[in-house]
Amino acid sequence: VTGDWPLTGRAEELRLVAEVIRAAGKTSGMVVAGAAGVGKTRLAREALTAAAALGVRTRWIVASQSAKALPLGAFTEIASDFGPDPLRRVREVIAALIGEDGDERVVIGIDDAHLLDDMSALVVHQLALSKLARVVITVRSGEPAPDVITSLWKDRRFQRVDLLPLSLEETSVLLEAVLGGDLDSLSARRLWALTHGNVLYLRQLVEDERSTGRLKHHAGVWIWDGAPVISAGLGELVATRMGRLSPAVGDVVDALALCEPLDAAVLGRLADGEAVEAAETAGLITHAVEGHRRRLRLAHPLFGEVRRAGSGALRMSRIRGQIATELAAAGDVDMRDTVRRAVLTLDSDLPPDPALFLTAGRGAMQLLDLNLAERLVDAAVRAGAGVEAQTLWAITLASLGRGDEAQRVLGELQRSGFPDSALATISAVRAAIVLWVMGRPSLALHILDSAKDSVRRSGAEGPHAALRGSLWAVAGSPMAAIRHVGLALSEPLDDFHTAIATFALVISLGELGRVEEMRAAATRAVELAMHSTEASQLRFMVGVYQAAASRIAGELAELAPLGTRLREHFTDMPGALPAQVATFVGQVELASGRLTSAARWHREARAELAMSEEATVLRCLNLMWLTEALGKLGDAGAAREAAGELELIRPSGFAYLDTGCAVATAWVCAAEGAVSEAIAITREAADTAHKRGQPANEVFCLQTATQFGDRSGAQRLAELADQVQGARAPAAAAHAIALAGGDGAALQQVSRDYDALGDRVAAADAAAQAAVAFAANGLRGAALTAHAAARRLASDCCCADTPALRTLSEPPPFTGRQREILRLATHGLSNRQIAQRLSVSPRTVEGHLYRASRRVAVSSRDDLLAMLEGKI
Amino acid sequence: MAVDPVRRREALDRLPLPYSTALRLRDEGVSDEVIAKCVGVELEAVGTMLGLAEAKLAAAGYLDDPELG
Repeated sequence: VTGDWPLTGRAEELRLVAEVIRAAGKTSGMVVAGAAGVGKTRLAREALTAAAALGVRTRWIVASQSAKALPLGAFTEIASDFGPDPLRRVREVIAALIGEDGDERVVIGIDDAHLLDDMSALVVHQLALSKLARVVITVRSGEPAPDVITSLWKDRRFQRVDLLPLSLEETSVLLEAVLGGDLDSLSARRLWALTHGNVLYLRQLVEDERSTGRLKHHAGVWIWDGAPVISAGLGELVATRMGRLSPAVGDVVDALALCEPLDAAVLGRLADGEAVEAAETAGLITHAVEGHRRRLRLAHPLFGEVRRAGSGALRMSRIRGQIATELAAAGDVDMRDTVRRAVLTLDSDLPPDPALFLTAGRGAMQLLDLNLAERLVDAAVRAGAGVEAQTLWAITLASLGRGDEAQRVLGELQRSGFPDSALATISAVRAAIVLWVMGRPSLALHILDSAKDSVRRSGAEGPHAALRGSLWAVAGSPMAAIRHVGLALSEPLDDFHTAIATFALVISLGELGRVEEMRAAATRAVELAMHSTEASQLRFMVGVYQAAASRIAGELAELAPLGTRLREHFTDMPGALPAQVATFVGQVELASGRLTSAARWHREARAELAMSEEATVLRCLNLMWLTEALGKLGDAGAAREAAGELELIRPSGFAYLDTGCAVATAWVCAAEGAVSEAIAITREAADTAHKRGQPANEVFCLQTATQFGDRSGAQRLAELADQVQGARAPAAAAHAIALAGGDGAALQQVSRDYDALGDRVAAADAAAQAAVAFAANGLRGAALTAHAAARRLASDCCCADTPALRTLSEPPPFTGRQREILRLATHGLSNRQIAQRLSVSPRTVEGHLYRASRRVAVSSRDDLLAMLEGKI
Repeated sequence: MAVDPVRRREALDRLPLPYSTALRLRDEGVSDEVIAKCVGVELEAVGTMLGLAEAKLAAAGYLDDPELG
């Protein structure tokens, strides 16, 4: 363990203790109480250090179990030479503590005062009564303490503050400070859940996991896989807290270490009743009444980790078997019980039970615990559960991002001589994985074509129609997609393929701007995913596609409730699909212009996804939105890097990504200063969308171009506003018309419209453009108002830094082209590189730079750049 | 300074659970004994805890200058 950790989440407590020390009021001291490891000593010491810095004399006394046996044991250093009269010795200790002149400006800290012997406790009590010194004592909550010590707070002589464990948020702040970077939110949640915010355990655990490389810095984010290895140091800390356990109490703790919570009645059959009571008295276990069940749990999760780490595998396997047998006899109340029983059976000395494993695997999927589902379904397959289990296993693998492994499992099944109806389903599931996880439409088509005969012979056409609809959707042909999906959904279809068909429908209706139908389809799919086993894990992906479509339409108000709903699932089932959740949340944040938060969530998703490289489609979506967020933040370097990674993995033939990728790339160019290039990219993407019949995408591209300053989109946007639903199109059309006309007031109104629909970056850009238009028309007051509005909106977006906003901060004498060249030059590009980038000759670049220099009266390129960077 | 109930509620949501629970219970007129039991502190520590919770609430933005908000 190295260095001091910052004191986090205790600012108010520290201030309170410092005030008590400083004030000469009614009380003369403070009690800092709390569980072991919560940070009492640290807080008290910090308070004394702060007092010492103000010139106050401080003493620090530590009480301990060993010193407790001696009268005045805590003060041995001071009391050793005094005489036999106990009360006289007490007085002399006090005199030694406060100094001969009885200076009131002494602060005495007593650590672990509950361990004081009676005489030492009397010293503290006398100090408190006489108010000869300020006293800060720490006591462990729930531990017996000498009466004279408890009377200090019971009689209200001392104020008592109970330190509580750190909350999840405080734990995250602390860990990010210690680690010096972003911590993945799932890892933070896992570390907090395991330590319950106890700083002592947290520190040991984090140092251990970091030194062994299990807590690692990956793609800019710290990630921990949540499987701790209990080091000797941590084991010792926790064992000290647990104390010495009798074998009978050890059995109680071990049973709960393997399965918690347990009903009191079940535990009563597994362990000695008196031992259960003893374990509760010793603070090792807790009980709570839930409904009509009395449930027992370990008092701290690390107790279980430490016991499991220290026990033999055979013993644990036997106990698991005993618990599973008792649970089976008691009967399962809900799916969670079945899952727990199956997991115990799996790791026990009992024979495998394929039916139980499969049922529990389905349950785990519904509970979104996919790693567990994969283990259970795999066990069911190994125990001979058949083709249904094998298909489910592949779906589980795919949901975990292991697309290639999943499709190979199904490929094997396809060659195993199953009936045609089974083959029709297996091939469709395989094609779905290949398409939606791995992003390989041509392979998906090949798989479907190869199984055509089975489909024809069996008549089971729905799953294949769902997949063909999906293929059209990702190919950017919304009308064809809707036709095929309509066929698929016109007959009874299993949940998995209904959800897959709905992906295609949501995407295609969204591209067509048919917002109401899109919303209805997505709502149906989310409902389906809530209640289905095979489709349960798809709920976040439905959310991702719905959020994307709503964003394109400018219907951002509906994102908040959708986000809240899906986040609740995540909170209920932590650990479920972290990359999908982070991508979804990042997308919602990006849509609303909360850029810093969006970038953070997407970086988190990128780090998670970098570990499952087969989830190509999700990785592309994630990188696409990360790039856009970084571009809007003006972070050209990071945006270009993310865009580069995106290009490396972007699948061919997956046209669904084209609009998003083009817009993201345009924002990279914008961040780099190549605004005309950014406009060209978005206009080209708009043309492509037009040719494909994706009017909503076309609106989105043209609006982005308008934000960059393109004045040519007005007519087309006005036409599109009549074709598509949603709030974006009319706002974008008004924007383009106002910009083309240089109409400051209209741009200001557009800014308000964008703000009302929730697109804050566009609102900031329109306000900035309004300021420029007012200034050009000589309306100085209006320009200043619009300027202030743009700044406020940009700050609401957490530091948006766009071309339009930059015109407000860059020296006004430059023309648009000069600004573009200057920004590229400040990014270190040579004149030749700038010329290549802008498709002009180097002499043209030189000419622009020369004229820009003359405008601000500097004589060289270097001076011009130095001036722009504020160096001269 | 005017009391803004929405802002107070939002700031309460950002507080660590025991502190927000203590304040919510106090606002509902619940006795110190019950608060102590609910949040797991000694009865004598409830007053200090409520004071701390108010201080944390201020730090979480509830008492921010409305001009800046």
